[in-house]
Amino acid sequence: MGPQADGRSDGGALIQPGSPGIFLRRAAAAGSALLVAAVFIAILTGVSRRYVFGVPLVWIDELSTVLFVWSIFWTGACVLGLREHVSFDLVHQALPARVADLLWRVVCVLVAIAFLAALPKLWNYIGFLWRERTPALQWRLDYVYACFALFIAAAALRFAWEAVRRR
Amino acid sequence: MSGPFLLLVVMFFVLTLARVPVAFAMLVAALAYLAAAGRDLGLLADQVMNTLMNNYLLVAIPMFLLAANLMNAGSISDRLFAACHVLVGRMRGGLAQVDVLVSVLFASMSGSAIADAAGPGLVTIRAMEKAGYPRGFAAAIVAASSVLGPIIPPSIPMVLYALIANASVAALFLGGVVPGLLMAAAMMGVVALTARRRNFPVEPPVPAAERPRILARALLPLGMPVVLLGGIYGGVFTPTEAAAVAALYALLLAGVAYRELSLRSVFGAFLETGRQSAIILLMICGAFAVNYAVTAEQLDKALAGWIGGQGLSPLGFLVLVNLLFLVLGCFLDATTMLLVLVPVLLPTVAALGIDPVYFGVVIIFNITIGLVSPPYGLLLFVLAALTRIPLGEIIRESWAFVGSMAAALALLVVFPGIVMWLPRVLGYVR
Repeated sequence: MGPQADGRSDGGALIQPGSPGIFLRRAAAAGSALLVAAVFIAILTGVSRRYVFGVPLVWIDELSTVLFVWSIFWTGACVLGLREHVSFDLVHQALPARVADLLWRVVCVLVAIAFLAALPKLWNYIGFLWRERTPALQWRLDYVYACFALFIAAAALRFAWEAVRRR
Repeated sequence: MSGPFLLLVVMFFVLTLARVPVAFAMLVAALAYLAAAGRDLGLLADQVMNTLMNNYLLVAIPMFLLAANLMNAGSISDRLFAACHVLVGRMRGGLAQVDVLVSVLFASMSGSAIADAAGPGLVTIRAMEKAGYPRGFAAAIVAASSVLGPIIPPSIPMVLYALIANASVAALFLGGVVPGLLMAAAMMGVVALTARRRNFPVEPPVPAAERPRILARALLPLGMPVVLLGGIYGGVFTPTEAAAVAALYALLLAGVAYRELSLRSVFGAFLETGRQSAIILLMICGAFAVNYAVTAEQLDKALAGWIGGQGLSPLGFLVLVNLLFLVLGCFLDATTMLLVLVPVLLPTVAALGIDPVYFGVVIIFNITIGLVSPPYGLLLFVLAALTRIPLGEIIRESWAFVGSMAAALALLVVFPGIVMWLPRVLGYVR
């Protein structure tokens, strides 16, 4: 459970230094760090308002939860490479390189198709929530939940790219 | 087991074996189940998002990780290392003993094994390599001692268990204290025996005049578990708030008191936290998606009924489950086991009258052994990747530690008092 802490990621090879790709990747990473910082500050604000100022904020737990959920799907969609996730690669390594590569591409196509096929249904479901609102902040639930559909769309793209990219 | 559920299981194993990340394999398997069972695929969003939004406790996970990352960025691990060096460095195999002791201290501030291995663990491995220890042994003891992280409170797996079992986080944390110390003692025993047999080096003595200063330098970091656990048990903070306050403590300590943090390293710690928590939380999302199918199929109730019919005693059940989990732990990921397999067992645990806090501590102890047991021990992989020490050498040296942990686990099963004594004395369980 956890990352390969050396921070290696795939897909780096296709981005040349100085290209807009580098800028986008840095911006995505900065977004991820900022969201974590926002969760941190929100929780501490809640604590200090309760103890230091004696006025508890009812909506602060909800705000930190929403920021937290966005940070997960933002980081999952835009920052993490597929190889940074926990995966089981003993079988992959034991197979002859060409077989392993072919198998990996086939599986990536399958995963991409599964996510793409689910996407309209997910979008529909989330869109249907437009009239519901979060309890404390009264934010529209479809906006809050949209990050999940965006994450699934990004995952589909990543797997599709893995299936076709040259190695 | 119905056809759609069988499809889920097959999909999960095929995808995982083909190297698809476990988190995505679970999401796709859950989608396959929904499609085959003729349900709306949109339920995936419902299941995942509602679970995330309604469990404020989950927000504790990034905060625990943040506290550990800030400590690692700000030389706090180095100070703990120096202090433990003074305390146990003079024993034979001194550096290995230092490692176990540092892990005990670090575990009382962090809830993740990876953070321990990647932080203080790496410091120890480098020192041990320099002192002439076999490098496989150095990585093996670091991997083994890192699993204290999730056993000694705070603990991320215990937070997750508290969620799925509806148990008290405070009681679970207390239940982990004695088993954690027992595991540390078992490891120190293995190190002492190995060090004598293989004649590992003794550390040069630290001049007596310097000892108080070095020990004092580690005092402030030790305030962190006091803030963290004192806040939770004093009823001052929720676990999530306590984790954030602990992270703030680490930030102030490293940044203001020690002046060891640059803006860049703070940014790095926040980014690393974002990555690590996304990796863990996405697996949790996948597991909750799969759990929807488990609940819809009523597999948990079927299992409880079946085991009830077998006339198994609680002890017999615990022995069986622990053996099964030790074997599965060699092949399955720890989070998957905790979030997918454990919920299936919970109705049986309740039916047999086993205390959920006791079961949680035992099963988490068991699952963490899987983090270091070959062939699929995540900590072994992480350390091999970070240190470039060949995996084979680490695995060869790991067996003794895995054996001693399994022996400690057997003690927990036979003597439940080891787990329950502390929570009971402090009034958290009856």
